[in-house]
Amino acid sequence: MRIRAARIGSFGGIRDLDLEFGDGLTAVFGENETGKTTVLEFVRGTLFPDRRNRYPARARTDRGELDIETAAGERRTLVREANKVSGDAGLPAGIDSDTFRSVFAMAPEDLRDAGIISSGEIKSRFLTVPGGEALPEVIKDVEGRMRELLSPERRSESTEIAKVRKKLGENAEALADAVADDAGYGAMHARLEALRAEHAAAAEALKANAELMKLKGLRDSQKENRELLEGLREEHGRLGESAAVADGDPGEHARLKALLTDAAEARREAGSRATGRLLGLDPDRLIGCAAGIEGLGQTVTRRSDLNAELRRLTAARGAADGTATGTRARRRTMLAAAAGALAASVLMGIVIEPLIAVIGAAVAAGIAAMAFVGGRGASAADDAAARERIDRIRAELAATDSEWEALASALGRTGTPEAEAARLEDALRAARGLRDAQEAEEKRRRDLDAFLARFGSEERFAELVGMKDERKRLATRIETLTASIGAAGCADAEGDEPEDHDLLLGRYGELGDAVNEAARELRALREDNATEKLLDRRADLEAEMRDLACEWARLSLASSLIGEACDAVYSDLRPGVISTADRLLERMTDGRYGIEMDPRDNEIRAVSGPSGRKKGEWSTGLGDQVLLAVKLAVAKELSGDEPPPILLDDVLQMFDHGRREAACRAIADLAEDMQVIFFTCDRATASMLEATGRCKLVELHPGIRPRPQTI
Amino acid sequence: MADFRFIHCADLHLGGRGRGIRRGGEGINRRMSEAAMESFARIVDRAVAEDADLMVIAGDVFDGTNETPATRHAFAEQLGRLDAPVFVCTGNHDRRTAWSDTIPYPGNVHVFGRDPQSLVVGLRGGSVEVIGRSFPDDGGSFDPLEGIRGREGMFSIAVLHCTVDAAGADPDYGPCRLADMRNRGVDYWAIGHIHKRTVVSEDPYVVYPGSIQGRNRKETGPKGAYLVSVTGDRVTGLEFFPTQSILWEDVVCDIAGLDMEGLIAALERSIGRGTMVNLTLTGAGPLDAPLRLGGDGFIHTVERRTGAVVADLSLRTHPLRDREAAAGGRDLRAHLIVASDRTASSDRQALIDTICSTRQSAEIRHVFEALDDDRLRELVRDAEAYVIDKLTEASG
Repeated sequence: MRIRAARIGSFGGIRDLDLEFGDGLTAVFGENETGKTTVLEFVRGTLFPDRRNRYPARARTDRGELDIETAAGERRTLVREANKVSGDAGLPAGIDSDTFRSVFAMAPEDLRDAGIISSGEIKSRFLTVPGGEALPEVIKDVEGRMRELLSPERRSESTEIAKVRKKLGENAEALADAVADDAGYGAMHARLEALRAEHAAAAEALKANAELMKLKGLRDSQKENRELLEGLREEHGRLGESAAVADGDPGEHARLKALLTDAAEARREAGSRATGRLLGLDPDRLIGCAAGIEGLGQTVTRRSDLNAELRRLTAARGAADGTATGTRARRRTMLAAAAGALAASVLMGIVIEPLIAVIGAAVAAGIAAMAFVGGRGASAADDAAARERIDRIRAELAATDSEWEALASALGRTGTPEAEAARLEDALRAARGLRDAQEAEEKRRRDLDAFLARFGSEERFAELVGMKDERKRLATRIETLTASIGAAGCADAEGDEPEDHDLLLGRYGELGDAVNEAARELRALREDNATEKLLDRRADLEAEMRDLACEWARLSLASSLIGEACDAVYSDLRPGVISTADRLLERMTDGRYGIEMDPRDNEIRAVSGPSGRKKGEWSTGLGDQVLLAVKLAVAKELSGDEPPPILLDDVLQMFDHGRREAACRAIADLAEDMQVIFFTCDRATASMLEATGRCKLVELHPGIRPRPQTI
Repeated sequence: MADFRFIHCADLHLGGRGRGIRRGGEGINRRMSEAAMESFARIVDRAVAEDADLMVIAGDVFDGTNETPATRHAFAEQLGRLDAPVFVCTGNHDRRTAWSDTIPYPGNVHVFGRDPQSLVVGLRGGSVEVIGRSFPDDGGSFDPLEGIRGREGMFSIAVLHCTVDAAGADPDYGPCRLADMRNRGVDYWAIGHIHKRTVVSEDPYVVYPGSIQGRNRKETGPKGAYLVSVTGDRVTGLEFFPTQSILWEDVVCDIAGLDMEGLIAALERSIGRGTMVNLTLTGAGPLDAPLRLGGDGFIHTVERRTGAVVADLSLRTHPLRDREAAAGGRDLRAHLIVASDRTASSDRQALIDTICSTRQSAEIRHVFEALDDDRLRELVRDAEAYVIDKLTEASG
């Protein structure tokens, strides 16, 4: 929208002033107090009715008109009466009075008011990346929280992560100690086992020592007995030679002696028995003739038999026909004789010589046999035989006579064998008995002597036997004493000395305490859950660390995403305002400076080459340029399709000459797109504006109605 | 031919605290540690009740430096409740400690050494072979299958801590291939290391029973052990039984069209009392700003109303209903979205570099290095939504 003309009837100090404005740039030049500000105020107040008191003071008599032309070409007139304005300026929405003042109708103080581009709606609408209005705040929150969690560059102990890290470190140390203690478990266990072994050994030692003590006690108590035993042993030893006497010897001696006595007795008896029977003969002689004497019996018998037979034969011859009765009588007689012979020979046999019995029996048997044989009757042959037999019998008888005679003379006896036989036999028996008894006695004596020869003499034997008995008694006593000493339990005379029992007891007690202590420690180590608690705490701390680190990571990523997005969006969608401002500033600074904006902080920077300076870093002159460029750009952007005129009230006052010229050129550029009315009281500025070749100059004279001059 | 039943469990991580659980109140980490022990006690209960013939534990009994003498004692005590033999191999989280020798395991327990070893167990009806080896203490690389070969004519169980076909987490730890596990005379590979229960193969059986108690947001669902039945030298039953004390759940809820009360009511309906919840909110709407900028108030309210513990809250929400459209604009917000997309798709190291932009942040870099890719990208989205919310809030 452009203002074609202003007709001010009464406003402030102005009366009846008509002005015409150009389509693009119009410079309204008037010295101070010529009313240029009043004109500006009139225009502004008509476009933006505003009750707030500004210069000049309002009056009820205010009146005037503005001829405007819309972008579409429609012409309207705004009529102002006092504070009321009729007609529709057709201004774009979103531009209020304050905005207009700040951006569209700038006075120098408005120019330097950077507030509008630092904050507020203008900034967020036009000087921020779309969607990024809240970004600086978000970034502040993110970075603030990140710093709370973890210091960016230098180590710090006060951040949350540092604190957890410290706790983890402390926990690790404590855990290492606890684990070292646990590691000591094995050693502790070994020590306990060793102590137990020592303790058991000490118990054994105590037991052994008690035994020793007991033995010693016994030994002491048996000392007297021991000494006695010693003595007995000694004596026993001394009687050692009595060992020559064997146990059976005394008995043997007695036996032998008894035998001797018996034998002597028997001899005496034999002697007395022999008395009277020996016939005065020497026993030895009798025994020398024993054979003869012994044969006597037999001889006698034989003679008897022979005689008998002789008689018989003789008789038989005499009594030739022996009758049956005579035979039977003879037989009877012979049988009787046989029986008698048998009996006699048996008796002889028993007394003198058994052989006699045998022979006699044979003879008897012969006789008996003859008794039966001869009885049948004698014949001539029988008779011859009988005669021969008689001869033989007689011969034999004669022989026996001679035998007897020899014997008798040897013995000095007379008589017949029949008479002498029994006597001689008896004498022989007596002699024999005597001699036997004597021999027996001799033998016994020899036996006894032989026995005693081992010992030397009877006395010596008796002595030794006495010693042996003594020794045996001693042995019994020794045995008894030894047994009683042994029963008392102490067989050895010597033994080990026991140790100091109290010392051992003390050691045992100490070891017992040590074992209990060690076992307690071990159990405590096992049950002590210090390590467990530390492990729990470690897990907790690690989880906390993970949480904090992940929170930090999220924020770090947020920061990175924001940075990346900002770079992308900025290059893609640089706010139009910035582009415009950039161009304007370039123009103003002859290409030296451009304008950039960092969406991260939404701060405008004046950039020259790679370096950029933001507000606070500009020199005043550059700052004015930047602000002017930006505000003009904002004005353009705000306007959209229906831009209101930009009214500048001598904003270049503070620009130096060079800057002012450049600024005028830039303003002239802008004026090609929208109407710019520049009010100035400085002729030089007005000339500069004119010099752009695109400017309409309007002069205000005090009290004079100005004539518009068109260029 | 043996008929028997055995328990297979692994990755007990006894003594392990929770990881990254900040919420849940005082002592939540302690509680996690106790929960693992309680879970193992329940496994032993089941072994006793079922009169199991043996038990195998395939590694990671303890949890690295979280092991104390008390932990070992408690484990030994539990083992002592069993009469049956127990076979244990160690894993990458088990280590030799100064007290390992002085707190012995009961006589029915056999721990495999680093060289492969085969033991035959006599059972009613036959014999069973158990082969195993432990992860070497020095952490050097090793081929877990080396020297493992089953005997002819009897059922063979192999106990190992390893990674089959780089399944899941850590391809550098004890790697081996499923193809190499066939034709070795082993009928049942009782393995451990992967915390997610997985039956890798049924011929032969290759089984990860998974961990026994969830400890972080990735270990959700029931946790426990397997009861394996063998009849006539063939596996005839593989029954999983849960033993966890604390159940982790993933709950996802869309905020679209909801106000705060509506959201909390919806969560009340879908969250079980006493669980540990990984809560993920998705969708777009005006709730994004209060959720994101409102501090812990939301979580406390949810916990109070649902009786559960919100261990982790993941905001996959966005303030804008039509982010795509907004991205096409030309204002700052559009450029924020574009920058966010670009940053989120950059490679891991570049992303971490972007985060660690200041000098002091090098001290916490390790935290980010430990996060997985998803979590890192989530941080970027968080930042984006946060800035948008803040701009919107600030501009009133």
